Amino acid sequence: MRGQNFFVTGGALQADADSYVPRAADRELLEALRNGEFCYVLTSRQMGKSSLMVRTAVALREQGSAVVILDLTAIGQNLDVEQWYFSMLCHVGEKLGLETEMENYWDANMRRAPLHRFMGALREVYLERKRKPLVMFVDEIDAVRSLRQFSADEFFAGIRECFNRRPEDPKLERLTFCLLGVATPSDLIRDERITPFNIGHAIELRDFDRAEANVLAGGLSPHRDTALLLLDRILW
Amino acid sequence: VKHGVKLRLFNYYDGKVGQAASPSKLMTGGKAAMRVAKSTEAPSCTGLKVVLIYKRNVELDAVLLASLEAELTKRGCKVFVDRHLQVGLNWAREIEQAIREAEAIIPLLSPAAVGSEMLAFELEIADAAAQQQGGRPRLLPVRVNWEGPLPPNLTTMLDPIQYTLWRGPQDTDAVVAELAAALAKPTADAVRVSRALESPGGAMPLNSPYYIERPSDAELHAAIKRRDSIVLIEGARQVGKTSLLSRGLQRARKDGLKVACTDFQKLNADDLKSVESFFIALGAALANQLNLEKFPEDVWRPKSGPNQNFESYFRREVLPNVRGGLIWGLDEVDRLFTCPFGSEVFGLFRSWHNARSLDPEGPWHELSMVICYATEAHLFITDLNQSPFNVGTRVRLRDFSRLEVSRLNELHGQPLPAENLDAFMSLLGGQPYLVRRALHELIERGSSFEELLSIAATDEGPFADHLKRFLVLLSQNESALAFLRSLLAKTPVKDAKVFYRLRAAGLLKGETPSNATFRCDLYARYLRNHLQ
Repeated sequence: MRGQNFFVTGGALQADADSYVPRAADRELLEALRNGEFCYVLTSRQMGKSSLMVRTAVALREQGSAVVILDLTAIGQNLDVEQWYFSMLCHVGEKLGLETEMENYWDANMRRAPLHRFMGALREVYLERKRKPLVMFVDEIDAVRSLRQFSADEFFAGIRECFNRRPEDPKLERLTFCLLGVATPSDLIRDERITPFNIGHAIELRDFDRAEANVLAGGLSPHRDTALLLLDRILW
Repeated sequence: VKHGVKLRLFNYYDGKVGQAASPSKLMTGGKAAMRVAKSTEAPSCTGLKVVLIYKRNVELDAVLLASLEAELTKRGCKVFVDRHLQVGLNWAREIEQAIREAEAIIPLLSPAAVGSEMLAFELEIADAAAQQQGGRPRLLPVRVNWEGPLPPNLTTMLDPIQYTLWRGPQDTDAVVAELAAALAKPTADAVRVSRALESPGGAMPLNSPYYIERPSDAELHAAIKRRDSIVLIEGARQVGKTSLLSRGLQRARKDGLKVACTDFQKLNADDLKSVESFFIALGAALANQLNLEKFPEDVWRPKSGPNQNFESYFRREVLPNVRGGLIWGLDEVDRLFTCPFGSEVFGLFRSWHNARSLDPEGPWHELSMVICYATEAHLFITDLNQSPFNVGTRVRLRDFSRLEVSRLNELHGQPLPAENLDAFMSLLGGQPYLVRRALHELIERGSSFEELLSIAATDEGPFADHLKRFLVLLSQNESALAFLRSLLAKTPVKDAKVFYRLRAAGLLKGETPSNATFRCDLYARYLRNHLQ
C-alpha cells in the first residue's frame, strides 16, 4: 500500500517519489548530460520540468558527477552585474563546498569582467581541484528578462564559449550546462552568433503516454481495474 | 505605513492678533482656533484632491464630515465624499478611482467607524495605491472625540501615523488648519517605526471556546508532523486561516519544535521599499523571535545580492541555531503579491524546497515553512502561471458544514432556532465570517431569523460592508462582471479562467464553470440587486 502522499501536484517531486512517471525525456536528458552535451529544456509550466531536473540531478550524482542547481529567480532581479555573478558564484561555491576558494578567486581577479570571474572560478577553482565532472542546472532562465540593470546576453554567450573552447581546453569537457525555462530561445537572446541554443540539445517534454501514465493508476484506486478505468477518463 | 506622515501642529497667527497660541489652546480654545482660520498665511491647497472616508449614520461623525467638507472646499481642495447614496457598480468604480487619484485620504475615526469593514477596505485600497504610487495618497486620520486603541486590522496602517483629535465643533478650525498645513507640504518622509514582527493577533484566541475544528486542522497538523518543507494554507478572506495557523504552530511548540511566526501585514512602508529592506526586516524579525546573536545587518554584504545575503544569513545564522527543526509561519503573504519583488522572494523559497528535494539530508531539511495567503489576490494576478506557489502541500480551508454551524450555534446558546438551520445554511453557505457575524447579530439585536433574512442583502444590513467590498473589486473587472451576469441570468458560462478566479476570491463554488454556483444565496441576491 502506498503512503497517503502519493499525489503531489505542482513543483518538484521528491527524487524517489512513487508518483514520478519516468518519461522518454528522462532517459534522453540523462544520456545527453552524461555525454557532456549542452542541453536545454524549454516547456510550458506544469509539464514536470522541475521534477525532471531534480530526478536527473540525483541520477547524475549517483553516477559520479557533481551537480549544482542554480534557480535564477532565487538569485534576484534588481541587482547590478557584479552582484548577480557574485551571488551565483556564492551559491555554486556553497553547493560544491568551495565557498571560500571561489570567493578568494573572485577577489583576486577584480580587474576581469564579472562573467569572466564567474566562469574563471568554475574552471580555475573547481575543474583544477576536483575530478568529478560538473553539471550546472540553470533553472527558471526566463528570469533574465527581468534583470533591470544589465543584459544577460553575455552569460549565454559565455556558456556557448565554454563548449566552443573544448578542443583547445580539454578541462572544459568536464563542465556541462543544462538550461531550463518556459520561454522560447529567441525570447531570451536574439543574437544568432552568440546564442548557445543553436548548438545545444533541445529536450522536449510531452504529455504522458498511456504506458507511462499507468504508473499513476496505483494512486487512483487500490483496485487495479477501477484505477485503469479512472485513468481512461482522465486521459481521454 | 508606507505613506505614514507625521502631522505637526503649526501655530498660525498674523502680526495683528498677537502672540501665537499654545498648541493646547489651539486644540481647545475656540477663539485661538478662529484666528487660525482667518490667518492670511494659511497654506494653499488649491486643486488638491482629498477623499473623506467615514462611517455613515453616526451623528458626531456626520457633523465633523460636513464641516470638513465645507472648510476644505473653501480652501480650494477638491473634496470627494462618498455619500453611499446609490450603492452600485458606478459607485464602486467611483470610490476606487477617487481614492487612487487623491493626494490625501482623511479617515474619520470613531468607535463605530473603526469597526466598519468598508472603512477598512477603503484604507486598504489607499494603502495599495500608495505602495504603487510612491506614497500617494497619504493618510491624515482625524479621531472623532475618541482616543481608544485601534482594532488589529487597522493598527499597521494607522498606528505609525499621528492623528488629529477633534472633540467637537470648537476644534473644527484647528483641525482644518492642521490638515491644510499637512496637505500643503510636499509628501513628508515616512515615519520610521521599528516594530518587532510578532505572532499574529486578531484571529480567534487560542483558548477561544468558539473555535470549531475542521478537517483542515488535522491536515495541517499532519503536514507539520511530517516536516513538509512548504505547507500552504489557502482560502478566501475571512475563513479562519490565521486562527488555523496559530493552532498549528501552537501544536508544534507543544511537540517541542522551534517555532517562529511572521505576519506580513505588520511590515511597514520602509520594509517594503526594496527586496533588500524586506529581507533585512524579515531576518531581524526571526532573530528577535529566536533570540539569535547575529542580525542580518551584522553579516550583510553589499557585494552580493539581497537574496544571496538572506540565504547565507538563514543558512549560517538561523538554521544552526534551530537544530531539531524550525517551523516558520508566514501570515498574510498576499501582501507580497503586488510587490515588484514578490517573485524573487517566492523564487528563493521555492529554491530551498528544490534544494531539499535534491539533497534530503542537506541544511534545508531543518526548515518547514507554513505560508498563509488569501486566494482573493488571484483576482489581481493577471498571469495565473505566475502564481507564486506551485510547490508545497496545500491545506484548503473549507466553509463550515451544516453540522459545524449547528455546533457553533449551540456554543453561542442557540440564538438560531433549529428549524431555521437549513434556511440559514442556504443564505450564508457556512461562510465562517458571515456565520459568526449573523449569530452575533441575532444575539446582540435580539432579532429573529426572519428579520435577518429580510435585511441580509440590503445596503443597510449587517453584511453590507462585506458585500460592498465585492462590488468594488468587481467594478474593475469586466470579464468577471460578464461572467456573473450570465450566471445570474442562468445562461451558460464558459470562461474557465474567470471562474477559477471568482472561486478563489470566494464568490463562487463548484468544480468546473458548468456547475458554478454562488457560494451562498446572500451573494447571489446582493449581486442580482446590483448587476441586473
